Formats: sequence, structure tokens, C-alpha cells
Amino acid sequence: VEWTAGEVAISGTSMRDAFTLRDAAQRPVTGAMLRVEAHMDHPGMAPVVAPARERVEGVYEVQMDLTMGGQWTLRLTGTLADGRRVQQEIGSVAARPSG
Amino acid sequence: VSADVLRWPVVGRFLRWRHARTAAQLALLLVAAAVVFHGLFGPQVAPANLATVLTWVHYRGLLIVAVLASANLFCMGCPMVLVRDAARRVHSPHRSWPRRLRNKWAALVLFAGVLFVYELFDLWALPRATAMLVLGYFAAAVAIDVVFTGATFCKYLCPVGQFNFVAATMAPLEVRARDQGVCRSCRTFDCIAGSPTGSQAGQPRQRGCELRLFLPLKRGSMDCTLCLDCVHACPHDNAALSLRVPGLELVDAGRRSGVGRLPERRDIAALAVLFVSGALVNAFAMTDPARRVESWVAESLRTSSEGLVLAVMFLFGLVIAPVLVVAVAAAVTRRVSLHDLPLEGGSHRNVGSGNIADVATRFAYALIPLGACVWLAHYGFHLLTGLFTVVPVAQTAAIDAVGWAALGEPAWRWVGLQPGTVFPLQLGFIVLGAMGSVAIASRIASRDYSGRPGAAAAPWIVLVVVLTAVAMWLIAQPMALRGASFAV
Repeated sequence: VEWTAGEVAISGTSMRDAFTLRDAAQRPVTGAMLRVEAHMDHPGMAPVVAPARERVEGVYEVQMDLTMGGQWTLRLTGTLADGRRVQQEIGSVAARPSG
Repeated sequence: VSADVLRWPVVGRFLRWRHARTAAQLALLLVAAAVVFHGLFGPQVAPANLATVLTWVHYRGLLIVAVLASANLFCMGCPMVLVRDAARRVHSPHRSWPRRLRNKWAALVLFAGVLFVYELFDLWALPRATAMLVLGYFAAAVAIDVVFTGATFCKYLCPVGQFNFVAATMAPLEVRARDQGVCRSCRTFDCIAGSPTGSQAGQPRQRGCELRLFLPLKRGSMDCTLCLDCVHACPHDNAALSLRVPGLELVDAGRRSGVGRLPERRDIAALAVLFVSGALVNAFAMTDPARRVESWVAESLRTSSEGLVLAVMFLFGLVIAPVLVVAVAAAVTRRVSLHDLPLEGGSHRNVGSGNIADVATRFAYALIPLGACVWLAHYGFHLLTGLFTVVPVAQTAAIDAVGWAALGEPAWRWVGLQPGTVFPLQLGFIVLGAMGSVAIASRIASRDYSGRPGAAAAPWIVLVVVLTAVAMWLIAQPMALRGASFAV
């Protein structure tokens, strides 16, 4: 997974980013049903979960509102077109508090 | 309704069941196994891993809630004792714990050490490290207790155990003799020596209290793991799990079996102070102001070492500041009470005796109610706001384990209460704790300084008010940046 998100987001505002899903042969993977979970570092905090929509072949876009400042870990989950399950940590975002 | 829970229909019947503790231990052993397995092999994302969620959200929160709502249930169900007992079948201990170490000082250092390590390594964010911590805990308990007899690890070393012992003084239940007359006529002392047959004929040998708490002289819950061995060992069915007024044992200056007199135990008094300062430091470390203090300390020391910065902050927060404020309060009490010092038998004399440390040792226990409620406010917050996250995390773990959604798709909408909803509860807990601390300080002053109890208690009441204000300020801090990484 190639994640194109910036490192800093502003909490309370919408963050829109994209990632590219490729197979072992580096070919784009299309038709996957995916979502991105953003988790705070501390367990027990409410995650932000958003669907990832395929915009062009193998490139999926996600829009999410990070609800507070801090370090968010992004996790991609879902199923590929052939039914195989995807569960992978894809990066992190440091969100500044708004204001 | 009987005041003895052991005589209650369902709960009492379960607790009196000989295998009740083993059942509770097996349940927690399974949880510990899930924590270790998922922590080592599951996703290294703290909120999506059972190790971090169960340990830092549910275990901590449920532990303090259970102790304050009932009794020391988590020591009762401690799975480490189960593993230790199994290890002792292979290697029986023969040594006694050294006499000079039969106090709480080592446990005090370990307790502070756990708080420090938790912050230094951001353990809440590290599933694998959390799993290793749990494994290390089991290894330490077994290593100590296959060498030393009795419940050495529980009584003298276990940091969680010490936390539970102190918190359990605020519990509404305690194990005690039902009828002292029965104890006076007893000649076998099975409650401490163990019974060859157990309380019912035909049962195998039942051990007595491993923590050396002799039931007729047992007062309060300090050092009691609620193992109920005394209940099962007593041939006269004379051990009760009785309702009581929470915290009142902190005023009891009498000699306790296995503990001695609280007003003379400086190590336990220090543990009480650490219990309170630890609650405040642990909560403070998660706030944005803590980040600013870290940066300020780092700049002042011209260092980029987080370990050094945190060591300085913990040294100040857990040692220097608490010792200072307690010493000041004790000095003021001593000064205003110089003409009314206690003597054995309840009489009084008019010349000074007892130094500041003696006074501090008498009054330190008054801080426990506030400390317990600060822990409750902090850990209760994480428990209530993350209570249901165990559901999607368990669903995630099932996917990790078997490759398909055996427990359903992770339902991440299952979280818990909103932080704003919990805040009034937190405030209520802290106010309740403050009231308890004021009441205990007043009772101690009345006990030891009956001539001028108000003046003797006043410095401690002021201290409780100040600590309460600090605790309220802490829980009012916004959640923003909690868990953010250290940066100089």
C-alpha cells in the first residue's frame, strides 16, 4: 500500500488523502471494498472509521475527520475483489489541535 | 440481609465453594493468555490489540472499581498465584524472606518504577511490550515464590498488590472473625497454620493464610488478598466476609496481625503517600501541560534524553513534592499540638515528643480516600469511555487468528460513554474522596490530639483541599495531545 497522506492534519477539519493498492507484481488492485480506521495511540479512544472509495484504477481515496489532536495510527481493513481479507497498518498522522 | 456476604444465597455459596478462587484465577489466566498472544502476534496498533485494550483500559479500570465497590477481588483472582502454585509442585520453596526486607520499601520502589516505566516507554501504545510486561510479571512472581515460602511476592514485592492493599482499605467488605469467643476457644489455629482436612470432612489439606494474617487479630484489609484460605481452613466456620464502613480501618491504631500498628509503620504510610502522588502524577503525565513541563525541564537541563527528563519529573512528583507537603503539614500539626501529645491509654501530656516523621506517619493514611478516588476518576474515565471497544478489538483478534470474521465485522461504533458525560462523575468521585480524606484526618486528630483536634487536623484538611483542586484541574484538561510523542 502506498499512502500519500501528509504527516500533519488539523483536528476538527476534514482530511482527504489517497493511497494506492498494488499486488506483489506492483499491478494496481481494483474492486476492493476498503475502509480506513484511524486510532489514537491510547487504547479505548473512539476511532475514526471512513470508507475508502476507488477513484481511478487501484487508487483509493478516503476522507476523515480526526476528532482531536495527537498521534493517529491508520489501519486499512476490508476485502479484495476475490474475497481475501486485508488488514494492514498503513501509516500515521500527527494531528494538531484546532484553534 | 446478613452482614456476612458468605451467608448470602448465591454470592456466598459461590465464595464458599472450595474452587471459587481457582475458577476466578482460570478466567483471568485465559484473559492473560489472550493478552500475551495478541500482544505478541496481533497488530501493533494499541487500540486494536487486546493486550493494550484489556490491560490499560479494562483491567485497570475494573480493578479499582471492583476494590472500591466490594473488596480485593483482583488479588483473589490473580492468575499469577495459580501459575506459582503449579510451579511449587515442581519446586517447593524452603527459604524465608529476609527479615530486613519484611516491609513495603522494596514494593514502594517497584510501584514507583512501574509508573515510571509506563510513561518512559509509552506502554499504553505498545501491545508487544505490554505482553512482555505481563510475561515478566508472571516470571517474577514464580521466580520469587519458588524460592521463598508463603506469599512473599504478594506481600512484599507485587506493585499491583500494594495498590490493591491500600485501595482495599476503602472497600466496604473485609474478612474477619465472626465471633471472637470461638477464636479464643480454638486450639488448632487452622486459619493460619492450615487444616489437615479443610472445613469439611474428607477434603484434602487446606493451607492457612500465606500472608500471616491471624484471623482473631486481623483488623482491616491491609495485606489481605481475599484468598479466603482462612474461610476454608477454619473448622469452626468462624471466618466472615463482613460489611463495614469504608476507610474506617485507617483510624484504627490497634495492633494488626501480620501488619502491626499503622501509626508506627512508616513504610505503609509512605506507600499511602505514594498512592496519592502516583494517582496525580499518572493523570498529569497524559496532559498537554505535562508536555510543556517536559520541554521546559529538557531545556533547563540541556538534554534530549526523555528518560532523564521523566526521571527528574517523577523524582519531583513522587518523592520531593509529596515529602515536602506532608512534612510541612506534619510540622504545623506538631507545632499547634505541642501541648497535647498522645500517651498510651488515651491520656495526654504537655511536652513535645514525637518528631515530624511520627506525625506524618499518623496522618498520611488520611490521604488514601482522595487518592483512591483520583485513581477511580482517571481509570474510570478510560474504562467508561472505552468500555465496549473490547468488542471490535475481540472481533479484530478473531480475524487475526482465523483469517475470517468469526465474531463478525469489527463494530467500531461500539466505544463507550462520551468524555463529557463522564466528567461530572469524575468530579463527583474526587469530591467524595476529598470528603473521605477530611473525615479520616479529623478522626485521626480526635484519636491522637483530643485536646485540639481541629488545630491538629487543619493542615491536613488544607492539604486535602489543595490536592483536590489539583486533581480537578487535571481531569479538566482537554484530551488533545494525550499520547503524543515527546519532543524537545
